[in-house]
Amino acid sequence: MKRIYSKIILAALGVFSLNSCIEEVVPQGGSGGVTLDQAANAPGSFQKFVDNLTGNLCGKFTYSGSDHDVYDFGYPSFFLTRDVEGQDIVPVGTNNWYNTWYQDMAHLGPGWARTQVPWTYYYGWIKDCNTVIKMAGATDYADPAPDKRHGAGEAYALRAMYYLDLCRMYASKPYAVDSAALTTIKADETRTIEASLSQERMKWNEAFAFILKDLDRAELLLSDYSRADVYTPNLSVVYGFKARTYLEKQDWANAEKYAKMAQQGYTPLTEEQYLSHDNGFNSPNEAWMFAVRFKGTDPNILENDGDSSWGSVMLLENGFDGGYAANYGGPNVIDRHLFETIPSTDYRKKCWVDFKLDNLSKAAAIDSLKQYSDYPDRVYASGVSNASYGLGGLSLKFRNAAGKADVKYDAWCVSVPLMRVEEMKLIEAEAAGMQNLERGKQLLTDFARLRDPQYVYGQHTDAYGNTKTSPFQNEVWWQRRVELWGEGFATFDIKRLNKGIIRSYANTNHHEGARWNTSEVPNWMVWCFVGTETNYNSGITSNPDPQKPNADSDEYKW
Amino acid sequence: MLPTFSSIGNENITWETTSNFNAGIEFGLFGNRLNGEFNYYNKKTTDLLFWLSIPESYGARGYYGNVGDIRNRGLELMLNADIIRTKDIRWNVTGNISHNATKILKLDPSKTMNYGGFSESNKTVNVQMWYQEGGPLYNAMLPEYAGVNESGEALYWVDQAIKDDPKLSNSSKPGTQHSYTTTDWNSASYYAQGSLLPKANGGFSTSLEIYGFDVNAAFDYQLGGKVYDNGYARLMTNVDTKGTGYTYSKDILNSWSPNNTSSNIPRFQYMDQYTTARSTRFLTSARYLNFQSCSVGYTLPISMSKKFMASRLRIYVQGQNLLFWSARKGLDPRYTFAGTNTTGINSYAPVRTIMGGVQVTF
Repeated sequence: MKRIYSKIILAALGVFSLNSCIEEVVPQGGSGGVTLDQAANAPGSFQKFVDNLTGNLCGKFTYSGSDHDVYDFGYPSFFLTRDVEGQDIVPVGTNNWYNTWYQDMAHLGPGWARTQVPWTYYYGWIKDCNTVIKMAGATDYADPAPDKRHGAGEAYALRAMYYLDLCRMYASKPYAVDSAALTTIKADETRTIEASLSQERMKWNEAFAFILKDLDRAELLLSDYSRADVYTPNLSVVYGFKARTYLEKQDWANAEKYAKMAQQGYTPLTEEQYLSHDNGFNSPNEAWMFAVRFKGTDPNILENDGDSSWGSVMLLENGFDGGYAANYGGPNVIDRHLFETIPSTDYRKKCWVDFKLDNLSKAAAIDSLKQYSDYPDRVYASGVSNASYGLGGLSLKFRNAAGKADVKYDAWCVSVPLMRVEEMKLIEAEAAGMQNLERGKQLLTDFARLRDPQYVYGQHTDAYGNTKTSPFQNEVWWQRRVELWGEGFATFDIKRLNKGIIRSYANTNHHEGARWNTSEVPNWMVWCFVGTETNYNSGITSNPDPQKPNADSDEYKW
Repeated sequence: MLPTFSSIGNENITWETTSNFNAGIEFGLFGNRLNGEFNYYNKKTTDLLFWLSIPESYGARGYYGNVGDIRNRGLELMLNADIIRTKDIRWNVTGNISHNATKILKLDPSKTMNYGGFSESNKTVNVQMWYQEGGPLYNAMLPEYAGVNESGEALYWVDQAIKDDPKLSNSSKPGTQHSYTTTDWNSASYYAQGSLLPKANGGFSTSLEIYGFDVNAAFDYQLGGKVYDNGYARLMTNVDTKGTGYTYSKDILNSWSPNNTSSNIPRFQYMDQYTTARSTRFLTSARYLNFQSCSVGYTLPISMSKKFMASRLRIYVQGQNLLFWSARKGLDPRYTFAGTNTTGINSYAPVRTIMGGVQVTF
């Protein structure tokens, strides 16, 4: 051994480089970014940030920044993610992206992207509102600079809209059941990162106080604001938000008051407008109070062949190859029971294809489809050949841009209503009736006769598991379900009225494996929080994970 | 133009500093027929620049800041031996092995105040990592698979203390107790799995020259370490929608069934939700052995090559990317230690090439 050691040649004894400091360059403020102060001082920048509040509501792939997810097209997408959780909208076909929210509860737990989508969107929008409020010098409800009053007013109005939505999505219980139930996290312009690391959700009462404070502020700041178009909120929209908030809060007097004030200057849709093959629910008119629109320059229209857009998932009549509803096998249809409870004298029934057409030959069916569409072949193909579904319940309420059904992708550059005067009429009726039944019945009947001249009060009393709701409220609810179908109210109403859902019944068009009846609000409508919140916020109380029923329910007998 | 603030700035950000200590020895024995190199390094990074997640209700998912101090420490050994060195026969063998270990020395108090550490998800492979002082980097945090129940459904472990605390999500912090099992994956607790980094990796090669023939072969390898096999999870997933099927692994034939109750693979049942949910079931050994290249040649004796007017004439066959062994056929852990993506690979498999030729020197 000694010999061996002696032969070791220490050719190089170590390369010592103690404490050789390597300093790497740290990017300051991201790539070419600016700070809030810099942006605030740039000429004209404030208005740009204000324009962004409504300009960013749809069309921008806000969740992923890329065209991966078909449902990543903004505010109207949440109409569908919410409403397929109940029964009124059925996402049919073999290729429907909304199926997750309809029946795949496994992917609605805290670790999934679909759980993150609403959180990213809503709190991103809220952050934008907070930015505008700060830039306006209105932090903590200070008076904004005179030239920034309208911008700040818009920010307060929209922030209130987002919080009301969030509360209705995440509240652990309806306000009517538990006024102290937890809702969502409050993130306003004064919140610090430190506070965010341990913060509990607002209770319903705290949330209402916050929302109404914002709306009071918006009402004040927008009192002299005259908007250019229906795509930004004005005073009437603020009244509308107040009406919604008081309805949720069951403050009937205020709900009625503001619903009535909101209606000023608007008139309900006529039959011709409602059923227009050219302009049906695709462009603003005298009934629309607030809306979003998809533009030809939006990423959701320009990228992925426009397939990640409202038009793609809702419209059946486009004449080019593309679109989930029309060509890829993923239309969204009406619940058969809801459809069949609409009297034939109610013209709204013509928004959806009658289930009787499923019994006709192809030629006869296409002939019958002419009453619904100028493109009966396309409608037939969308439901029968492309979705392997059928025809019953296919929706023609929403239409391609007028005269553009064959133009890629102008067909999908449509507007989508976020608030219509009809909703205000129904809030007014419900709120009035909860104070004085006869007055409510009269208002409801007046409204319903616009749609069905032979309307008779008292025909729509399905209780959906909660018989404590008055027959009057059930009757209003039915009107809301029909009038506002596809506009994002179905699940909010189920939760507000503490209803169950019914998908299993004779002749149902709900999927096997998702024919569930519940006697109370299904647990998956109490949305669960994403791990990107709960993993870093030790103060938040989680909602339980959504549970999928084990088996289809027995058929409900109406 | 519609401006919005996409990220949060950090006024307190500072330089990341790295201190290196290296020591090495080179040596030769037996007339340099056995020689080699041995290196040790210790690299300490202070004020590590890191993505700091914050609750997303802030309107952003996080920002860059200085998270703390980490240390990388490792050993490298290389040996080269001329085992036979005669006029007609030369046989040489070379090998190397290296080992690296990571340790988190210090974390910013804001990242430890809630749970003693923090988790970050790895966006490309959906494996969450857990960071705490004294722990390693790349410490995977996953639900633990607990086999199947009497009906063949997949089971996952739950830490009751975490499950019962409404302020904790199942992935806020790692579980410590294995209280009971559940078929509801969303209720499963996440447990720290330790570093995914390999214990060691390296390569070895040999060359032999014998009476005009020459043979060269080179291998590389990895020992220890783990990789999340997303690709295999995909191939084992049951049918859960009306959509058309996918490609499946033949291993599904061994799934639990009333006639095969000893299987650890959950039943292959339509509509089951959590058959292949993310869990330690797919955390797979990342060890591998790769037969990287081989060549065989023959150099003609000078007397013969002169007949072709050449001073040297060699014919040979050589190949690249010849054979690859890993924990599962089709799993290639070489490109990432964190996991494969859902298609099972992170890049196209290296092309296997085999070629032959004649080398003529005039």
